[in-house]
Amino acid sequence: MPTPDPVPLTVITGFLGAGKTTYLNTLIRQGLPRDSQIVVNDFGDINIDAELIEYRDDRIIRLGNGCICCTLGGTLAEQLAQLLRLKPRPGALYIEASGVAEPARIADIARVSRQLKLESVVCLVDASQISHHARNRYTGDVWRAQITACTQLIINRLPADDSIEYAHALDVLRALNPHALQALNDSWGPTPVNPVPATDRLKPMPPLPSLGEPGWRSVSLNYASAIDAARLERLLHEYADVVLRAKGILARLDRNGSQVLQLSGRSIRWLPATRAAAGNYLVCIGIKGARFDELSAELMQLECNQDPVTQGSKTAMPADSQAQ
Amino acid sequence: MSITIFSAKRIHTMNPSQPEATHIAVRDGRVLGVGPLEAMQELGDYTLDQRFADNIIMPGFVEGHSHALEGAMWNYLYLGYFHRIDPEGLRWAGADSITTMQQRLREGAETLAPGEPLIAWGFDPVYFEGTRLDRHLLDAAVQDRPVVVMHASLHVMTVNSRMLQQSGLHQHPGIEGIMLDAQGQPNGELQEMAAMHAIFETLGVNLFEAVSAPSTLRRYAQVARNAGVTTITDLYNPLTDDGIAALRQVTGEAHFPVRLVPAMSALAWSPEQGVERLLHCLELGNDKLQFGLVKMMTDGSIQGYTARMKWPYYHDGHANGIWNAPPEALQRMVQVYHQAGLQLHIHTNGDEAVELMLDAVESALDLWPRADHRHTLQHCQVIDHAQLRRTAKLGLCLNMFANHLYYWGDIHRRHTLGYERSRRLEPLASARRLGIVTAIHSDAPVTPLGPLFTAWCAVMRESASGEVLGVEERVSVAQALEMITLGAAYTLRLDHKVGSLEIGKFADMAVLDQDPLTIDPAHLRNIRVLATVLGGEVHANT
Repeated sequence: MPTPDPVPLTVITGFLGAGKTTYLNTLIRQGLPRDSQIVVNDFGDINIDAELIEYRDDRIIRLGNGCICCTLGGTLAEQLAQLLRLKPRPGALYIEASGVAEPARIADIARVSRQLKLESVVCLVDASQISHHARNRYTGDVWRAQITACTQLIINRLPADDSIEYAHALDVLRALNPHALQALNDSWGPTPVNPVPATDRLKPMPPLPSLGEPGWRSVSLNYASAIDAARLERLLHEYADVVLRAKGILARLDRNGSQVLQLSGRSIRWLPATRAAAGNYLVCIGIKGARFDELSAELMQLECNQDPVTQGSKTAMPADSQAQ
Repeated sequence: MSITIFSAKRIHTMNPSQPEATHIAVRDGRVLGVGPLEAMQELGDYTLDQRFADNIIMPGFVEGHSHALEGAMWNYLYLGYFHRIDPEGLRWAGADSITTMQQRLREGAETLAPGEPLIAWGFDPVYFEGTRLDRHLLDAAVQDRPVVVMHASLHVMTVNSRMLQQSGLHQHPGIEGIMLDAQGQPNGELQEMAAMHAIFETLGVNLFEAVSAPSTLRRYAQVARNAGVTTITDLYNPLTDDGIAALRQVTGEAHFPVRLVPAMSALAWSPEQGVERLLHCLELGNDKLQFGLVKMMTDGSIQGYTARMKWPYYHDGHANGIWNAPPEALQRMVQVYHQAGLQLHIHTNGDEAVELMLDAVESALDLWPRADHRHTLQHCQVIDHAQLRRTAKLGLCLNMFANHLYYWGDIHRRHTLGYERSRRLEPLASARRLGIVTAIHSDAPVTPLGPLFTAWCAVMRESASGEVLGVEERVSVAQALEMITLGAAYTLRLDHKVGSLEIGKFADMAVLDQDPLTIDPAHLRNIRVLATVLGGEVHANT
């Protein structure tokens, strides 16, 4: 039986928020080979979702059993074997790997498979997070392994090219992997997909403000009188990308008695408060940044006489401990 | 409905108000009363069932961490070192020498069509130190067809030369995971993803695809029943629509012998989808099917060097393990499920994984205080005392992998953990001293299902070679029995229905040939399960 031409496999790695999905979408817009298959081996992230990938649904599979646990079936190895049995066979395979994946292990699959050939191993790096990731006690080792194992390094959100941080970032990366092709990008926009050798780099554009340390933000609002519930719901939906949780005991213009608001995932639920309400307040927890600040400002407008308190203490931001 | 009164030599109820009795009255599948016969007679007309009059009755055992995959493994040839009982109750002797293994492979091959691959499972290299199972040893047994021997860890396989040839792996000696002999040629041992992919690709089948089929669940239930288990988890079920339908189908069948408690694998869904799916499932249960648990995986295994360890990491200097998902994603997942009011069962093997999850649960509780959440750390094999104290403060439960003490204890002592940490491998007595609700488990199919064996491990703490690992962490037989009944039930939020024999609870029992509380504790593992009773219905053991 003749062996058909091997299917090219591209492995896309990088930490959460490094720009993997954006990069993949850029590739898609430039055109993928016919019937390409995309495997998303990522999970649990609130922002990124296989739904954000702009490709045919039937050609995207989400593989969520974790990267290492082949104990219980449904593993990447098994899934890939199954995909290669599809008719017609995929024209190319793209794996968006988990943020903690060891890309060398995935690349090995293509190296030993008779039906796959390794096209490239791309690693996306968020330059503004280099020192944070390199020092992270839980994931510093994986971060280094990803950079070491890639054939293409795509560096997003670089600081200005005359800054110390810029030189430092590139030094750190070059020390880890002097051979990978590099593409530099200083913005949130589409990522360049045609990297060049490190010796012949693109000049970066002036930088956007850095995101700073990732973290959570919480805002607490005390309203003096009843609020417009429909408007509140609209706001929470509009800012769903930065709101993780909201809850409150609120008086509504359209209802008698206090109502408990719960925002869980994307659904908002109102339930009658079982106890006499001690106040009329809303707590909103989300991802630190300009968007969240905008939302806070909007929430303050829901009713005019409130006394907004943006909290930054340890107790109000227990998520601080996650941002180490 | 009529009343049946079972008599027994002794009933250990696990009810602190009445630990022992001789009779138990059952009506409508539930316990109507426990006590002396005179008191039971007051309850009305009854039938006296004396078949267990010379036996010991305990609450049916509760296995809080095992997998329905156990039911699928028996599609393949069993090749483990220790004896194991298959779903039909057949006892497979341990393949405790290379010669025995080769003989069994030959016999297995004879039952197959010419050329059909032979797949075996359960081989554990730990017991063959000095001899490496390689392709030559397999060739000597079977060479006219591909042979795949899955190791007990399920992360490693050994294949024969025919299989290597067919998959083309003999051409790739440079790849990590393709193990080599002294001449630099592949020796047949294959580890992890890449090499295993090549095998699946060549075989053209997924070994584990039947894992959620009704036939697998039925077989799983039989294995449970044989071990005296009446309530059992499937602690990593993706809860696909088909999977849910299969669970409902088998638990709706008359005489299905166990209650199933699947835990949804959180990594199979985004947290929002997962919450929605599980809340929807809550409506779909029945008396033998209870939804509501979420399972998360944090790290890997200690013996596979994939568990995340704190400094100084592995005793033999091996590099630290691997996270199963990004730590931030895992922490957010805890937040979402906790906030939604669901109960988390969190796989943490190494102490660094424990640390991450203690932080995550603490954050979640800061944001959303919640009494009686019963989030449970699973396996939790390496946990230091400061972490145990935090565990107690945070109201977490522990379900520890006691069987590891026996099966991998020697490996942990010598290679992975060293002397001091192996003293507190599965620190059960310390957990009890701190008042943490604790259960113990088998993680079947990783080790065989058998709560009395698991209890023996917790009491004796003996490794396979006979070394006692940390005498201070031994628990009493009474404590161990609680861990396989009421303790496990509590971690599944089912302690109001199962785990003890008390008025109003399900009449679920395990019938034993000897009394675990009077027997020499060293023989706990030898007690035979004669039957189970589920909702008053007797399932005699095969």
